[in-house]
Amino acid sequence: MLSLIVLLAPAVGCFLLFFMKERDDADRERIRGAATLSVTASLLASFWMWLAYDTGGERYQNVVDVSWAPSLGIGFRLGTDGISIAMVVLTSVVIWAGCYVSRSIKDRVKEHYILLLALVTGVFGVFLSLDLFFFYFFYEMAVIPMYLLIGVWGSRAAQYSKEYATMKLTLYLTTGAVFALVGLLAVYFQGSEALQAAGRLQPGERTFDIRLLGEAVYSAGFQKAWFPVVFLGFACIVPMWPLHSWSPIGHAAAPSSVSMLHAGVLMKLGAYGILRLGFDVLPLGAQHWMGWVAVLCCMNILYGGLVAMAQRDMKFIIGFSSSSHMGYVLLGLSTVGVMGVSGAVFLMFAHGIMTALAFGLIGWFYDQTHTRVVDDLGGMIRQMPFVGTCFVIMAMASAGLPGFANFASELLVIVGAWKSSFPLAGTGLSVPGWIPTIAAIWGIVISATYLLRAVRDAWFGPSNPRWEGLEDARAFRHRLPFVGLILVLTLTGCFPRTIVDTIKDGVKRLRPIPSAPEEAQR
Amino acid sequence: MTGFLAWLTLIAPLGAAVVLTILPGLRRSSLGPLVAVGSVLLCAATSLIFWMGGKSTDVESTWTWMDFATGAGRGIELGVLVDPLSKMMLLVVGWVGSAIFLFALGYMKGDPSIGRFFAKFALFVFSMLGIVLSTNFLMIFVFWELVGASSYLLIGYYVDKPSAVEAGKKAFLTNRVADFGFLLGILMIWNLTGSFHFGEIEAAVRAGKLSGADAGQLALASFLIFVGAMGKSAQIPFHVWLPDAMEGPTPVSALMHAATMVAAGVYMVIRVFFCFEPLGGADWGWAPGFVAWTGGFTAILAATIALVQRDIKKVLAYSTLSQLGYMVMALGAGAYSIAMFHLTTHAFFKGLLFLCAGSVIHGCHHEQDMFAMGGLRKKMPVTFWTFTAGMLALTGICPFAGFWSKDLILDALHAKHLAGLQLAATATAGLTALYMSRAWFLTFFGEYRGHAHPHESPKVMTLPLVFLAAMSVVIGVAGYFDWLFPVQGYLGKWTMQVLHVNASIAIVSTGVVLLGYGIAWAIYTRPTLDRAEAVRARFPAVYDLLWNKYYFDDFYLWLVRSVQQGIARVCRAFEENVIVKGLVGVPVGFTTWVADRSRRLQAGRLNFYAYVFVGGVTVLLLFLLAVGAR
Repeated sequence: MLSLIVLLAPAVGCFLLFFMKERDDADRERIRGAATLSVTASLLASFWMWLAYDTGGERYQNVVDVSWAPSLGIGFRLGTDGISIAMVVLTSVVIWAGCYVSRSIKDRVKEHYILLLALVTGVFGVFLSLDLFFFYFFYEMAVIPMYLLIGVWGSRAAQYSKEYATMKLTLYLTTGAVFALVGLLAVYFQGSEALQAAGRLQPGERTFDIRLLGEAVYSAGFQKAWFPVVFLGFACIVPMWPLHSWSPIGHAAAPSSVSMLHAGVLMKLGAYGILRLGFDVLPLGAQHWMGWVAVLCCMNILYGGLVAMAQRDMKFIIGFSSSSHMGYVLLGLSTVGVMGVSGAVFLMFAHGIMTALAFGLIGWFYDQTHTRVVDDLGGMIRQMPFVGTCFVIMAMASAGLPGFANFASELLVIVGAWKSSFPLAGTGLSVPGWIPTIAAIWGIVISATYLLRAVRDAWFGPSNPRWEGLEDARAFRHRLPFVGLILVLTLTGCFPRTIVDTIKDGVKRLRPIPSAPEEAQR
Repeated sequence: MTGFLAWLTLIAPLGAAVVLTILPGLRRSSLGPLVAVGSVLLCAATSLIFWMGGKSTDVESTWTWMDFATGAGRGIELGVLVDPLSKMMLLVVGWVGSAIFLFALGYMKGDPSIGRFFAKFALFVFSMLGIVLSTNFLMIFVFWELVGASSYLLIGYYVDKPSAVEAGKKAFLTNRVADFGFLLGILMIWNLTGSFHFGEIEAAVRAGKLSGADAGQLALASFLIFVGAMGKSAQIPFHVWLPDAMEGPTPVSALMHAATMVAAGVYMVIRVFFCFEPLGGADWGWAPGFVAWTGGFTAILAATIALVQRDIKKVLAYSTLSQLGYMVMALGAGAYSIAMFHLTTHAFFKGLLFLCAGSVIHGCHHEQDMFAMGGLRKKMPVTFWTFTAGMLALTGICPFAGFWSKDLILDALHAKHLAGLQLAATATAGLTALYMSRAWFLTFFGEYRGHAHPHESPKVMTLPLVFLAAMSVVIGVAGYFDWLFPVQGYLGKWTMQVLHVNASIAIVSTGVVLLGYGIAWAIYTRPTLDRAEAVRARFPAVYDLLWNKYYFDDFYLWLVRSVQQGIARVCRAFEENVIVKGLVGVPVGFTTWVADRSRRLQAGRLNFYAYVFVGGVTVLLLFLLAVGAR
């Protein structure tokens, strides 16, 4: 029931917005109010789900199961486990903050909110679906509004036009989705066959039900052959190096609230898909191939960080830093152990909140300065002490300072990776855990460097006469999204068990990997 | 009860910082700073309770922070550990901290964002207490990072000043590089002993379960952990951030960059001494030797740089580096209790000296150049006399505090037959006397050379000075003769061997110190400072080398600007040319090319369609004939 509320609240809001008129400012205020109301309903429901999560109870809670196309085995199946609850909470917090930040949009407000709500319905749908068909359906539903949102309301990103950015993003995401679709169909046919053989399904009957497909027995050969297809599809979205180039441009070109959703939530769909489809259904494939991911993710971490260091546009800095941080997520996943994978999921959550905060704040000053190039900025903290302070907090969180969720989650990833070993499939070699871990720890030094530089260049130093008269966020409704995001980040950072215990419960119930090196930890 | 008190001591400053941050009304009121001061006074009170309670107040209380098994039945924990070592450090943080907080009330008065200052200052005390009370390596790392961050915030407190912002960033990043080693060391120790918890690691190391290969790894791990300590305690080559950190307000320099935070590295090594202790053996004893020599180099190099500084705070900053070098030498010699003793006495007299400098700067209207001071003896008598007490303590004149702790370090080096280091330490003592009395003469004697109207500071600033000066006089004697707190006996397992001041070593070192005073007196008491100029002109090469701080900063700047930024630019070029233009551009170009070619097939010319149609039908017929013929 709760999962239905989470999913339908923005959908209903989106539908109702079609019938609202946008003639004057009062109308616009009503539109904003309606959109905010609908996502607040999602927020409350998702927090309720989080608080009511029964650790050690049913694996999938809040289940909704409605038969839809029985001949193909498609059903409208929703439900949450520990992992998806974290993702749903993340999404609802980010879109809630995003709705407030979107107040700065003055042009075509109605259409903007309609697309935003459609987008977030899709994202919620992916995280809530227990049916592979709807999983894919909702994924596509999230990508299309993104295309329009960037194309219409976006801004120029360095030398690239917003049209280039949005085209590139959409092509990448749909190409990735096609790979994933192929893998998904393979699982559908093979899994249904296995279930028929085991007598769980009638002969000739098939199912898209993730719960059933997750229990089917797949041969090791099938798992090893199909995991790379599924993985590659989702790795485009993570984004894994070298498939990442859509992401920083997309971040930079998008309007604030869309950047927030894009970096905060959309990128997490990839890693979530790897867990849902890769780890739960094809665990042997995951174990077989993830060693290579541990090597590639070092490129994400180090290379992403170094490129961020050479950027001058604030959104590009954060954009490349995102691709660097997602490297930690991949490292955590590649440990295929409870601590590392839980850390990865927690980091997806933490990074989502942190990066949403970053783009919200950048949007706040970009609306006034019309430049994001750090060399042109400087000394702004005198004009906007509140936004500047929030930005410093964001930078500290992103640089992995204790007290914020990012530190706790990165610590789990690093500690989890240290004792792992990463077999490189096909070579007979194995990379000891400390090698990628050293890269990961060095990545923290790099991230501190570019973040502190960005803070120094944009906010500190003598106050710049060009920025006289910049407005700080003074009104309550302007401060609310930033305060809310920081609050979530610090509460889960100081008391990580509030969310990590839920995540860990979900990770523990992923299909166990026989003879995994960290079996003891599971 | 003790556990509760310990948690309260830890949490109270955090509470003060949070309250001051989220309540703007309180932050702007005059009550705000008092909240922060109160939280530190609480720490002073509980530290006294713990210390007087002796063994009965020893306690360890833990809280599972994250529930992931990292050792035998332990999750990732936060906790408080009250034992003799942490009690002693609590005394230092609590009492020196209280004195400095009170001083700051006066010093920062009139600053428009005094509430913000005290919020950050309280946050620092919280982080420091976390290091002091921590029960395991992960927790100490957590607070290690927090100390780095609060240091960043406080050094860069004057956000309009580019040099202050730059200095804060430098401090943070230098420490981050050192922490890279620290975290690696922690993970290695975990790998070897299967635990992050201090007690369990100690038991594992003591039990001697480590094989020969493990022992080599233990030496490497200990070295890496010491790298972390080198960052916080600003040992060469990580020392460059500390002098720049003087950009912060003077109370910050006093508390963090003299008394407590920089001592955290030394404290941490003492806390985990069991990792270093078994390394004394012949075959893998390189780690303690490395530690000792690092300290020795830092001590003497920093002391020489201090000789040429003009800024009064910079002199004290290099002096701090040099004194930390003493402590680290003691660590390398295995004299952990002596290092702790020197840490304690140093915290009091260096805190005092910085506050005196603050008082001077405050009195001279934010003038920091000693060559624009002079003759302040009569205008600021309290500051003068307390500074003198601090100077005598620092230079180790019997019976002031520094004498006892410094000479015990010399004895420890002597006992371990580290003659080279003993020589370096003795020479450093002479240099210390030289640069300190130079500062003393330049600031307080002769005629006033500046343009302000110096005045004595208010009571709220001078009272802490008097308190710290009194402590600088008595604390050494009290510690050495087991009056107030028997340092060597009290610290139990940290006392490898009980040492006594050796008369001949003491006489030699005192002689060297007096020589230093004599040279300074000969050069710097002339009213026109012509001899100072003459000395400088006599040795231009030496002067340049020292003035440029042995070119460490220039080398690092080159490293950052050329090497690191060069790599970053190469990566960016790779991104734009190979990934975007190649990986993405080539498929895009191919698709466009194919589309362009195939477009021509449907150009709309009827005769072309007819040709293709005829051709297609022909091919089809031939195919059918071929199939039919078979």
